[in-house]
Amino acid sequence: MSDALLEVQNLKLYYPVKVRQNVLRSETRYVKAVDDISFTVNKGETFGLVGESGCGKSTTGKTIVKLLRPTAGDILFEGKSIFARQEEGQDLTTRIQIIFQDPYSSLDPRFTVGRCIAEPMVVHKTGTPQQREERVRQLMKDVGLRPEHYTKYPHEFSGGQRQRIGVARALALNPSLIVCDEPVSALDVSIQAQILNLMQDLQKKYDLTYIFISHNLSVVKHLCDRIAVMYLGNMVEIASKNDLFDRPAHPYTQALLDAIPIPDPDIPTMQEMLEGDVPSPMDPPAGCCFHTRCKKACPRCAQERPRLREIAPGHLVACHF
Amino acid sequence: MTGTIFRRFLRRKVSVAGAVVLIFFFLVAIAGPMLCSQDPLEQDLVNKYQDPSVEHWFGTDYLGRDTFTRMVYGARISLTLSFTGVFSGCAVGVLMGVCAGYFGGWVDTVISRVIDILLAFPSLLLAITVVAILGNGTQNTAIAIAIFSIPSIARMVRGIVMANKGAEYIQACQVMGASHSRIIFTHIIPNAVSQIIVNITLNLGTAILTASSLSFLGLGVQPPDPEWGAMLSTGRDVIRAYPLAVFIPGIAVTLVVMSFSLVGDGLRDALDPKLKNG
Repeated sequence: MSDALLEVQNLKLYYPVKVRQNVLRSETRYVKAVDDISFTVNKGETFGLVGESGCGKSTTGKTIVKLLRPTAGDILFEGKSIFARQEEGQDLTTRIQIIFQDPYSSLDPRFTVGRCIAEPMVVHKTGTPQQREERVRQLMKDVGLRPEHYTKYPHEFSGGQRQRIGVARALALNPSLIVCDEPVSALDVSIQAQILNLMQDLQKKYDLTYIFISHNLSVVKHLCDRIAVMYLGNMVEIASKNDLFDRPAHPYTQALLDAIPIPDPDIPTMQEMLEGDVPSPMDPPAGCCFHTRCKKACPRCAQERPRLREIAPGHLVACHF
Repeated sequence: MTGTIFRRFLRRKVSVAGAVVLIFFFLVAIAGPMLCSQDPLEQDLVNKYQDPSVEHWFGTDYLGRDTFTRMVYGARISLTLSFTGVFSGCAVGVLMGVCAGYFGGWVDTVISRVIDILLAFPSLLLAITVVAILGNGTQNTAIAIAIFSIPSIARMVRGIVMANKGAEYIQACQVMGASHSRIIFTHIIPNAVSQIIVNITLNLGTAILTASSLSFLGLGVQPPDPEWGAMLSTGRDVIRAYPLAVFIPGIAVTLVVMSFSLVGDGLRDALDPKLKNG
C-alpha cells in the first residue's frame, strides 16, 4: 500500500444536549457521537467503516467533508489539516467529496440533471459554460446516464439512476477522496450491485480513494480493502478485509460476522446472538465501551479503556484480550 | 411541470371562476381611463344620487360624481395598494424567514420574537397603529399593508427553510463549498416558491380588505380620491335612501377578496407536490 492520503487523529465529536432536571435547572450533557478515534486511509484504497446505527460512522464521514466541526482532534489530508485556515482551503473542498445515502433527497428537485452535475463547477468557477457542459456530458457517460437525460428532472428517475447522478456530481471537481455514506443502502438489492460495480470502475478510471460507510458487511466485503469497525463512537478493530473476515479479534466484530445471514436454510444457525441493547452514547459505560454486552468481559474491562494495539501487521484491535 | 400545475388548477372550477373575476378586475383597472368618459372627481351637484342610467351606469354619489368611473379608478387604487404592500411585505418577510430558518441560533431568536410581536396584534389593529404613527394617505396605507403581511409569510418561510435545511442536497452544496447566499437564493428560496405564491395570493385578499377598512375608517386613502372603502363609508349615511352607494363598492370588495381566496386555495392544491396525479 502506498502512503497515507487521509489521517484522522483523535477525532472527537460531542453534541451538547440540555437535560432539564426541574423547572429551573438544566444541565448540559454531551452525546459522544465520536469518541477519540484515529485511523489512516491510504491512497487508492477503499476503506470500509462499519457499525450499527448510531455508532458514529456517518458522523465521522460528515466530519471528513467538513459538514460537522469536531470537538477535538484533527483530520489531515495529504499532511495538511482540513480545518486550518489556509489559501489552499478552497482546494481541499474540491478534493474531498461525498455521495449521500438517500438519492431522493440528495438532489435538488428543481435542478435538471445537467445543472445539478455542473453545480460544483459553477460554484468553483471552473471553465466556461461550454467546457462545463462538455464535462457534464462526459461524466454522464462515465456513470451510465444517457445524453438525453441532461435536461430531465430528478423525479423522472429511479433510485439507482439518481444515485448515478449523485456520483457524477461528486466526480465533477475531480476529487481524490470520496466519502460514500451508505450509498447503496436505500436502493433495491438488484440495483446495489450495479452501483457498486460502477463505483469500482470509476475508482480505477479516476484513481479515487473511497471511504465506504455501511452497515452491510456483505457489501463491505465485496468492495473494501481495509475495514474499520465502530461501536458506540469508538473504533474497535481495524484490519485488512481478509484478516477481519477470517480472524476477527474483537468480540464485537465476531458477533457482527456471526450475524451475517447465510443464504442456505440447511446450515444451522449456530451463532450466539448479542444480548442487550447498545448503551446510550450520552452515558457510555466506563472502560471498554462494549463490556456491558461482551461475553469475555472481566473486571478490568469495566475500568480501563482498551487502546488500539497491533496484534498482527496492519491489524489493530481495541480489546484487552 | 407548469403544464401539470395549470391542468390541476383548471380542474377546480370555483378557483377558475375566481381567477376569471380577478382577471376581469385587473383588465378594468389597467384599461381604466379608456373605459370611462368622465372624470372621477368631477362634481355635478344637481344630479346627485341618480339611479343607474345610460349616462351613469352605476348612478351618481352624494356629490353627483359618476359611480362607475369612481369604481374603475378605485379598482386601480385598491389593486396597486394591495400589490405594492403585499409584495414589499413579502420581500421583507421572505428574507426574515430565510435568515431565521437558515442561520438559526440568536438570529432565529431575534427574528422569531419580532414575528411573534407582529403576530400578537390583530392585523387591522396593526395597520391602524402603523397609520397612526406614520399618518394617513395612500403611501402609508401601503406601508401598513406591507408590515402586516410580514409576519405570516416570515413564519411560513422559516418553517419551510428549517424543514429543507437538513436535506442532503443542501449538505451537498455545503460540501462543494457553495456560499450561504448561493444556497439560499438558488436552492432554498426556489424550493419555497410555490408556498410563497399561495401565501401572497391569500394575503392579497386580506390586504384589499384592510385597505378598504382603513379608508372606511378615514385612515387610508383620503377623499376625494376614489377608493372602495371610502366610498362605502360615505354611502353608509344614506344606506336606507340610496342603498346603491353601499352595494356597489361592497360587492366589488367582496368579489375581489373572495376571488383571491379561491384562487389561493386552488393554487395551493395545484402546487402541492404531494398530489402527484397530474
